[in-house]
Amino acid sequence: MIRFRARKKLNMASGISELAAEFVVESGQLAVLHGRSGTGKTSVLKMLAGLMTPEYGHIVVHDNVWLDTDKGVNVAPADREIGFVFQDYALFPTMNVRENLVFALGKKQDRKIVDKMIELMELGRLQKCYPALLSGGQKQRVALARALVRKPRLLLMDEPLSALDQEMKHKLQYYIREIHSLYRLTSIMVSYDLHEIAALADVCIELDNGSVCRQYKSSEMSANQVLFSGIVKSILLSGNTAELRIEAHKNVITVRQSAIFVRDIVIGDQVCLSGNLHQPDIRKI
Amino acid sequence: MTEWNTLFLTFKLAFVTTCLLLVIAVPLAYWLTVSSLKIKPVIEALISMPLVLPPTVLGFYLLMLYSPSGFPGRWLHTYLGMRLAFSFEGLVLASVIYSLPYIVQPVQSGFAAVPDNLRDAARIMGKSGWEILLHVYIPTGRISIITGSMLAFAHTVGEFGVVLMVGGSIPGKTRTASIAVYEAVELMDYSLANHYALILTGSSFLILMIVFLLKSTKSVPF
Amino acid sequence: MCRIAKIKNILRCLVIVCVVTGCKPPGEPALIIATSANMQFAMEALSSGFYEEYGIQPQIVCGSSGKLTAQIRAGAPFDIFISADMVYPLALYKDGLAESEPLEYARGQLALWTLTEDSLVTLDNLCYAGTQYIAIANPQTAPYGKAAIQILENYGIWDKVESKLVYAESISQVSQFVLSGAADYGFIARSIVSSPEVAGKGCWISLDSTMYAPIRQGAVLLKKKDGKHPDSKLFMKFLFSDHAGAILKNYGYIVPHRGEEDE
Repeated sequence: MIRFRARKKLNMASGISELAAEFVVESGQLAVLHGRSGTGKTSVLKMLAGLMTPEYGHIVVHDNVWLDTDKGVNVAPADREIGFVFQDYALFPTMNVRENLVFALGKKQDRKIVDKMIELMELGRLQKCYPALLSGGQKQRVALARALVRKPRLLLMDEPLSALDQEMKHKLQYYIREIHSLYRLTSIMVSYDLHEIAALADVCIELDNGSVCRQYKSSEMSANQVLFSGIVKSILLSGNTAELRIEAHKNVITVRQSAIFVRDIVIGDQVCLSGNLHQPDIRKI
Repeated sequence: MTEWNTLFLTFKLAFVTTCLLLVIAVPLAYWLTVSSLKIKPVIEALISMPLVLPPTVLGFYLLMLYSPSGFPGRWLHTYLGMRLAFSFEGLVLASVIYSLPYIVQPVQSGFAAVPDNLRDAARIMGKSGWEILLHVYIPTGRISIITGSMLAFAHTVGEFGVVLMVGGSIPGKTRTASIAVYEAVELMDYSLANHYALILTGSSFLILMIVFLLKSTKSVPF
Repeated sequence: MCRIAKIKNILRCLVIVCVVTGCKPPGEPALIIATSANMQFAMEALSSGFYEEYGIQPQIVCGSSGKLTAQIRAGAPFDIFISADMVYPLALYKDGLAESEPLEYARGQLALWTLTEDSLVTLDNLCYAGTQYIAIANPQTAPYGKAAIQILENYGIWDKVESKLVYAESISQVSQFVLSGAADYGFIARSIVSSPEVAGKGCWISLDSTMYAPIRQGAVLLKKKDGKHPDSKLFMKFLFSDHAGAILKNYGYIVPHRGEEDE
């Protein structure tokens, strides 16, 4: 179980304002932190990792106190047993794939875990390659593998799939889901991709203006809460199902809904999505 | 010919100085890159002083420092039997101080270009500052380390004012090529002066050309 | 258009600044005397004496005789050259750069100087293990340096002390090395150690003048492209006057041709 409470002045998109966030994530859950850009999502991850210290904070992870500003407790990032996946991969450019993973190992750790990760993430052929020669999806698989070789108790991911195309995203989402259940991880991921959230999240935490405005299980969404809005880019009909691709914030979401519910929508329409993450309502604006 | 002795001494001085500088400057540049201590601008200013200070000022202070009647000089003489004025070691120390900014600044720029998240990733993996320097920054910033050491080398070869003040022009020990040129001109032996000058000009040009060639190649990791 | 106007304004200002700073204030050009380093302090006194008598203040440039000669050959705007020997000014005369052959204005004396407050300063001290560095002026360009080597050879200790020698750029750098303690001993011009500026610092002895060839110091009036300075002849006259002779004797020089001979 992760208990997070912190306050810090930040330079955010809306100017200097205060981040004051508080949330709880149960063990074994994959939580997705979302909200508009500049609301402090990455800062929350950095505070969890110990890379940033808030002015006031209290972080307890699996009964270990990682941060308690009142008592002066601040566990170093190295001792927090975290895996971190960065948005731009952060692979060491002068080490090949295998070396990147080996470098991440702890001092007395067995190297077998590296082989296991390489196998799991299907990196066998790429072991000796250097990051500069890898594709985005390959790099992120390496980053994920590297985050996991130390068998962390908490996996943090900062928009890990945002730089990838749709097909890669799907593939990586599969990997994330697999390892999450295989290793019984607790994970917190920052994302604003609705589909991703739908595919991966057990619980969503929405940040707005530096504070948590909503926390909900993805299955518990109530209707009429606007989640997303954008322009319809394409509509594919296949029997009774329509597949719409909607673009907003440089992001393209693929949504499936029964054809009858979207019959009055054409390409170029501004629509908003609300309601259940897995089966949202699509309405023309 | 005395010429070759002098040239050998000059390049030996530059080589020894550069080796010492690598050991000092690389960790220093790393500390300057990652530290956010308030004292940082003071340290940076101190390191960069030789860029703007007349070499004779530096030479003057070193002469005082090396003197056995002054504090560090006396300590060195009493406990280590060392006298730094007129010695090769004294020139090395002077050159290290004098050429320090010529290596620290390029290396610091090179290190600053290493993305911060690489350091964050390494910290999360439990790597110490030294491990991060050794395995992440030095390999990634290797071009800037090479160019910095070449600049420091070339700069030491050309050192004159400081060597004049504390060297004593002892042939084979402290009479470097730049001093030899100066003395040759004083003696109006222009052909000798020309010999030295050509070699110094040629070697400096070669070094600088290599530096700029290295800078222009994109550093593709192997 | 606005930008061009701005640039023009900046250029105008730059030109004005350059012209103003480049302008010399109207007045008489100074009498410039190039002096060998050993005469540094004596020259200041001579300069004051000259000013007292004639109301003219010369400008002094100091350096080793060899360096000054090279500068004069390269066209340096000196009016008079006061050397530490006769060879350099004679060479200038032979090259047509001096009005006449050099005249000997004084004879220099060599002294051995140390800061260490020892019992007695002798040439033998130079052989001790405790003496690590002995400063002499570069013998190739400074006559006092040549004389120092002559003494060492004549005294028979050259082989023992050669490795301890440190070559100063000029006789004034010898005093730098000795005063800073970097060198244990220095062969210095007597005029420097007996000057008020240095008096009282360390101990020195005057060395036997028979052990080295006499340091006959010569002075010449230099030929200048744009004509002689009107006051240079006046200074040369002053240099050989009794007044100047007295000043030079004060500074430990032997001044022949003026009556008393000092030893």
